[in-house]
Amino acid sequence: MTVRRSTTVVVAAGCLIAVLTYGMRASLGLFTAPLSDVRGWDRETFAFAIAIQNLLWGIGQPFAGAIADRYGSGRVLAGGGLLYVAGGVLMASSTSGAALTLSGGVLLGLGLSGASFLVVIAAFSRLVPPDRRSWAIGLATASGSLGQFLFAPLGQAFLSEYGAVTALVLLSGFVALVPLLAIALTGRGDDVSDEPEVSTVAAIRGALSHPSYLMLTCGFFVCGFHIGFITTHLPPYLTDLGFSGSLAAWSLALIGLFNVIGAYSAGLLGGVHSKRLLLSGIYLSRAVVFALFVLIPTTPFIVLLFAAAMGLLWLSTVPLTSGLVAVMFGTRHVGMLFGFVFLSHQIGAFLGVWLGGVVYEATGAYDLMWWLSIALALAAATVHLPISERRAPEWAPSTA
Amino acid sequence: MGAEHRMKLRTHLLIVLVLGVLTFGSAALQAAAAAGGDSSPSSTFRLVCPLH
Repeated sequence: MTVRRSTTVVVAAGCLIAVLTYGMRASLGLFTAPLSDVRGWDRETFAFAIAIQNLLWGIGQPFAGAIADRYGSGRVLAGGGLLYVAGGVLMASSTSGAALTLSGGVLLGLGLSGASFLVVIAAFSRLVPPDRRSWAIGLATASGSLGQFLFAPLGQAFLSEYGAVTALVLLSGFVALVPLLAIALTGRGDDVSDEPEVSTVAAIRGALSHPSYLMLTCGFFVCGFHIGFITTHLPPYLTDLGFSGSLAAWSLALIGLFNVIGAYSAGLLGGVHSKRLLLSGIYLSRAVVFALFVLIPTTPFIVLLFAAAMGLLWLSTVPLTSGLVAVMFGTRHVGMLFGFVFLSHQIGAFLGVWLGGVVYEATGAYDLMWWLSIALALAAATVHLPISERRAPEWAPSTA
Repeated sequence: MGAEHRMKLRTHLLIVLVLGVLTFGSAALQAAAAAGGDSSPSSTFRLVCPLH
């Protein structure tokens, strides 16, 4: 049975879930030192649990998407939210490395997969009318960014006031709202009556043999590479150039501000203009911004300008990339199929972080990484151009 | 013409303004903390991307 509900309620619930889950996720980094100090863990113990969490989060995305497509986004978001809360509370009360790995690693990783933005996108793809879908995903992307910034000072305040253990439990309490909000996002792939019935295996096979899907996946890999490299290595790069930590932090504020503008605008533009051309333009702009940042003598003003430009180009890829998946394959399997695209993003992010360290250790500078980022941006800009921005033939809606 | 075009430009600007002010305000708090030595730039920069 298809339940009719207000688009405004659906979008508001999805955006609030993005605020809560990303906010909590971003705040976890604040607990590394305080919780380790309380429990007497070394950094390796904590890092191992977080590494497991990231691994399960990435691998779990296509599965969470597939389950959401089959059984409904609301159920997956609710289940993920409960696992998320359980993981946070048990992590706070963990006293051994093994318990930390099970709670902060396994439970939180699975919770992140279920209560993820990807599942919200899958829900939007089914519940929001096509002409407002791109806008809604852009708004939710901007909301996720807001959540990260909003929760960080909140987490700091809780830490200062109540200590690491209580602060983590309190923050987990916010995520308990996710199962309630998920009620507004119920709906599954089978509810899309005008789309052909395609099994999960056939969907994977069809997508992997569709050149446009593969090109889109390669493009999103580059996005992950850029973001992984910059988030991890820009601060030490700026420090190497002799700039203060304060400048790096203000740059972050600008990235956040302009990311809101960029993600929202991309969602809006993606509803009326070619998504592949917009994506190509974003990657080309990244290449230009990187090249100027490397070639122009770096001053504090240039750093802030770079941050503003990167903010505009930061997550503007998300509504356009996810939107293209829905254009090509419809919404029946959109959660799973975007899950695979997202997995490529995470692999790119891993390589961006890891290679940045390898290159720096080998050469004593990041120059090679900047030029590699430029080359990849140009490749991504090119690879989006031939993408076919229409429904794959075997996935065309039935006209009956 | 998409329905989003039926939303007034003023509404779009208001949404961006509210999200932008909240985001920038929260980030500015962190920046101030970093300037005061309460937080390292690396600990704030890693907060940027929801996809990580």
